[in-house]
Amino acid sequence: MKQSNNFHLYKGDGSTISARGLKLPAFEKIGTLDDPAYYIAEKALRDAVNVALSLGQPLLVTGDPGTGKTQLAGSIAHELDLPAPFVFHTKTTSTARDLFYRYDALGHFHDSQFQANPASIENYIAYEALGLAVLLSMTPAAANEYLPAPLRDRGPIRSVVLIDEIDKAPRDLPNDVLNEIESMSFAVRETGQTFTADQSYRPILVLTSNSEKNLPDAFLRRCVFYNIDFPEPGDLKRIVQGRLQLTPDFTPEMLDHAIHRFVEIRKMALKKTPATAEFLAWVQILDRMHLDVANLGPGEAEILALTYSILAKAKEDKDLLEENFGDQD
Amino acid sequence: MAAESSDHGPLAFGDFIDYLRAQRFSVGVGDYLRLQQLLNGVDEHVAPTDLKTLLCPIFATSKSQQKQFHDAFDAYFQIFQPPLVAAAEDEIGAPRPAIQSKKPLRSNRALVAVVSALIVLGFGTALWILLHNRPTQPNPTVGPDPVIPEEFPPVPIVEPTPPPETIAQHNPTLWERYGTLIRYGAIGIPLFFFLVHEIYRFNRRRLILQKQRGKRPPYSWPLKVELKGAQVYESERFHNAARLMRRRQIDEFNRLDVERTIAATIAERGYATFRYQPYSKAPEYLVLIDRASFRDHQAQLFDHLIGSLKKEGIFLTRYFYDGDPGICSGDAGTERALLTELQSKYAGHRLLIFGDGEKLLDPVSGEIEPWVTVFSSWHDRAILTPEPPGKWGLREIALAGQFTVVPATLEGLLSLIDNFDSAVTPDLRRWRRGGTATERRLENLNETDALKAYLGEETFQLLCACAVYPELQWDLTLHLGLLPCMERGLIREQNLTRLIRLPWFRKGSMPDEMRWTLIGHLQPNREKAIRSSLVRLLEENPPPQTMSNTFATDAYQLTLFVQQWLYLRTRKSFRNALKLMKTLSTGELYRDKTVIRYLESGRNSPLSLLLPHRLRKLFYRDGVPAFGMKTSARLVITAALVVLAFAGIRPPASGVDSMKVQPLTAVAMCRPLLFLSGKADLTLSQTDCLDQIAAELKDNPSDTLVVDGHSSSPDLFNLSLTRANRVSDYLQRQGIEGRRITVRDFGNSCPDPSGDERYFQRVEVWRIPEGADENSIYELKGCEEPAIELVEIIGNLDFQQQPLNQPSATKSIRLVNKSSAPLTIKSVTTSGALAKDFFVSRQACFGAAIPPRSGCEITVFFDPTDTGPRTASLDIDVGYKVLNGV
Repeated sequence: MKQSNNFHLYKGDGSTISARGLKLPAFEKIGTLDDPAYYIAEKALRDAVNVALSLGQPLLVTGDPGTGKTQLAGSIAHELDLPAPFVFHTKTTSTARDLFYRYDALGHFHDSQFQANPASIENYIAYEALGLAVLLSMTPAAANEYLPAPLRDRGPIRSVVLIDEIDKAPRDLPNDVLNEIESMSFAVRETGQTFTADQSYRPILVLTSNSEKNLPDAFLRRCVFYNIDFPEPGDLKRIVQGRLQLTPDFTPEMLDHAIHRFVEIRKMALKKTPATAEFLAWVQILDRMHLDVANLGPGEAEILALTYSILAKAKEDKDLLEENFGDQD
Repeated sequence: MAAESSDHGPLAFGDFIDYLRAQRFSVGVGDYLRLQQLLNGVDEHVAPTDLKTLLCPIFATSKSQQKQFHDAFDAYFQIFQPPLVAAAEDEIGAPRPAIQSKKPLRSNRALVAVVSALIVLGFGTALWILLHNRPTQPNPTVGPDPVIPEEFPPVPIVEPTPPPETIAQHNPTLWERYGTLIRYGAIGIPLFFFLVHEIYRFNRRRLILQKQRGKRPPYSWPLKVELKGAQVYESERFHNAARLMRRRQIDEFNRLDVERTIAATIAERGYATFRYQPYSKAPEYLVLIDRASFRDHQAQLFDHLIGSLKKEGIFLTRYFYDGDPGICSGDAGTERALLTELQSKYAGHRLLIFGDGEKLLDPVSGEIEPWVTVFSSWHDRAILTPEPPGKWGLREIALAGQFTVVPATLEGLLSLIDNFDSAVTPDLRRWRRGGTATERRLENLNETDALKAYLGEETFQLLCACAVYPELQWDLTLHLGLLPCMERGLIREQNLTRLIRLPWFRKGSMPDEMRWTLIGHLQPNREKAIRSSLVRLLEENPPPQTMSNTFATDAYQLTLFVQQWLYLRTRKSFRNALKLMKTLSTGELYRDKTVIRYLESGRNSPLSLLLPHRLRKLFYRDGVPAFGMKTSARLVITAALVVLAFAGIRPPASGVDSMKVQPLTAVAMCRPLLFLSGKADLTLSQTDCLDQIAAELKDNPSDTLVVDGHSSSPDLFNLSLTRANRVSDYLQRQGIEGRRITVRDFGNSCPDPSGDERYFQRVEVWRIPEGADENSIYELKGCEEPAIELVEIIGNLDFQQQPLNQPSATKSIRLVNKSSAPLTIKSVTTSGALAKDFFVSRQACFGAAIPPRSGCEITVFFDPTDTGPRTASLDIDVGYKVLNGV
């Protein structure tokens, strides 16, 4: 069975690629892997999004890593013809203020020491995801001076804000932002200004969390909750077909076999159960190597065993997989 | 839909939300508002089933709740599960009760019934077919056609004969071949099934009994107690502890404190002076509670404490473990978490372990086990031990090397938080000093006085109250403590802590003896009040309607009845209870010995016949009848089937006979070998046939042959015997041992029934299969062997007395050939144990053929080697037949 020349680039024997008469090819990005246009949401998820839109409440999405929580925001923005979502990546040190703006006190201080005419304090305030969304909901006249150049004169529009992995934040954060999120307004303490979103252009808030444990009840009560389960094999197939441009050699039967194997793997007691993202990566590799999981040619079993390293994230898991599926003729 | 709903009446989905609330969803006013808002927004084309995914995001707040909501929705709106009826909201508003009945059990039973009916039907049909087919089976089957001469060709000279086809042309039918087997099978199968089923049942019963045996008390109805105002922790101290626990914790990160920096900078006259401020965070607690059983009061009390703290807004995550904290389990006991997983998941938390920490120590050396270092990843960690400080010893000292050890009380918790905040090493001795003497002395639990002294009068009464119901349940304990008849303020942390230190509360049950004693100590008015309260609790918690005819209902009825009777204790209720005991207690339902004793203390009616105790033990082993109604019925059915099979299935007699007799009859081989008059030569075709016989005989080494010679007339040359001998000789040359061939001479005594003379001059070869009767030849042949005496022996060989070692005079006997053919004596020998004393001196007969009617002499002398009577036999081998002489 032929294998794409582009795959075995690194030989690991000290020979250079030019000595082999090859050239390092440009990276081929699988274009549609992150494209929100190819995001497929199950019915319950669609309902949950619509409920959140209808109630104007934040949508809290949980689920195993790799089930497409983060990409949901992009998909919503795409389908609602809104600009790409503003993303806030929660850190363990994030505070409620960080969601709206950051004040570069040090820079301000530095400038004030060494410049004759220090700039006004507004210049040292950088608006963050939720702050930008609130500003965008206001008329350009009111908001333009605070917005960064590319966003000026766009409003008033609605926008999607993604607060990623909110469970990483300190316990206080969700409670601290409760009121701000509800009224969609915030105050910049440094300047004393208060910004309030136009309710008709209320930002759409999507929160993701890897576990629901850390969020206080009061916060949960103000959110629309949805847990993304792992997709059914049928959905999985549609997702793959939508997301990946598989080579014609990789027949739908081979894909079915891969899905079947993957579902089996998910049933095993792994330390970390692989999710959709891992599956997509795996199928991509299978496609490149032209491997049919159910009908392996001679010597391909070993190659297949190697591909399991995509699915298994712990050594025990990998051993388990190889033990169970590795040496099937 | 929305517009209608607002007119519709109280609240949309009101009943459903009530149902959700019963499913432990927390539903607030906000949820109603959100629901209404959503319904206003939703257009009217939404199918009712879509509501599931639409409403779920509002009510569910976690993955498990999402699933729970879906299940609850499905259960509640079952009517929508069949084809989607575009139902109006009115129908949603009037839903059905949603508990699913336990159908699978029924269908299972039906399945078994159907299958067994099919089996019985199949068996019956098979039986019927067998019985009715039997007479139609072909009956007769005696081996080959016996009348050989009839098929005989009319040609005098032997034709090349077709290959022998005399054996087994009759193919036995299946029934004939396996008839006996089927019969025994038909008899055996019901027996087998009966036995297997009984063994299976016995096994199952034993398993159930084993399971039940572990439970003491065996089974009682779980009382659901709705606690109102059971606030164990409502003291100022508790709120104090909660406040302390909420106090923010200094984090490891620092940040720039702008205000202080600027202030400092100004103070330094513009020289930048940075001030930092550590992040602070709300402390989070990981709590591990040692729980020995689900009725473990200790764990319940701690859990109650955790619950109360949670309500105060403290971030607590609670896990249970059983002895060894290496494996923890969450709420429902379903999700299990390894300690190492918790370690990575809750790294920044403060760790509180409720338990005595016994398993953390090496059982022999008493030192901390090496794996306990896992805990060192938690900076703040403590063991809250339920052990009274008065009894603290080496164990606590060892534990204090790794953990902060405090008693599991509010006081302990308070000082613990202080320790966490101030990082002061706590002093064990402070607690030990506080321990009371009674705590130290409480060794013998059977002494009620000691108990009373330890618990205090009122708490002791609570203990007695707990003894009334056979199970110790946490909620029930609280409920009893809150009864108006009990002392007020009994449910306090201090009292409960003392109570739960008793090992019974750890196990969740009390020995019946102890209960008996304790109930005796209960104040009479209190006992009455407690019993009435128990009865009320039972009446308020009936089993679901759908569970009628189940074990649970039986158990409930019985428990209720017993409690009612114990409460009222009238003669009538006693009789009713007794009756109930008789019908129900045969199982493992009730083994509450205290109740049984109550019942036995009453007088039995002399009319009620009871089995003597010993017999009852014999028949009702483990309380289960050894041979019940069902088993008897099954046994009767089995016996009937066996008898039916025995009487009904009888393999055809002829069939069986043929099987047995057929191989045991002599078989005529080839056709009779015909000879020309006066000749005894074998033709080529005859030798072919004999070759076949020889081959066949070699294949069946245990078969023998009989060769009958015939002739047309008694002639001097004894042609018939000569012919037979020729055949025998030929066969021996083909490798058949001589001992397997018997040569017989019929002379002209057995003429062919056809009367054709040519057929008289023949030799017949018969094969005698192993075990067959040689005489069967006569039946087939139509005549018997002529009683021809071959030889006549004249004289005797009686040597009278003879001196030792002296040869006697010779004595002779005379052999006379009485047959019509010459007789060849092959050898004359002596045989027997003393053959060496007798000698054949002259063998006139030996070697020569004796013509018919003439004779020869055999001379023998006797030379005794020892005294006493001595005999031996003289063997005279006359050709093919060995005769034993005197």
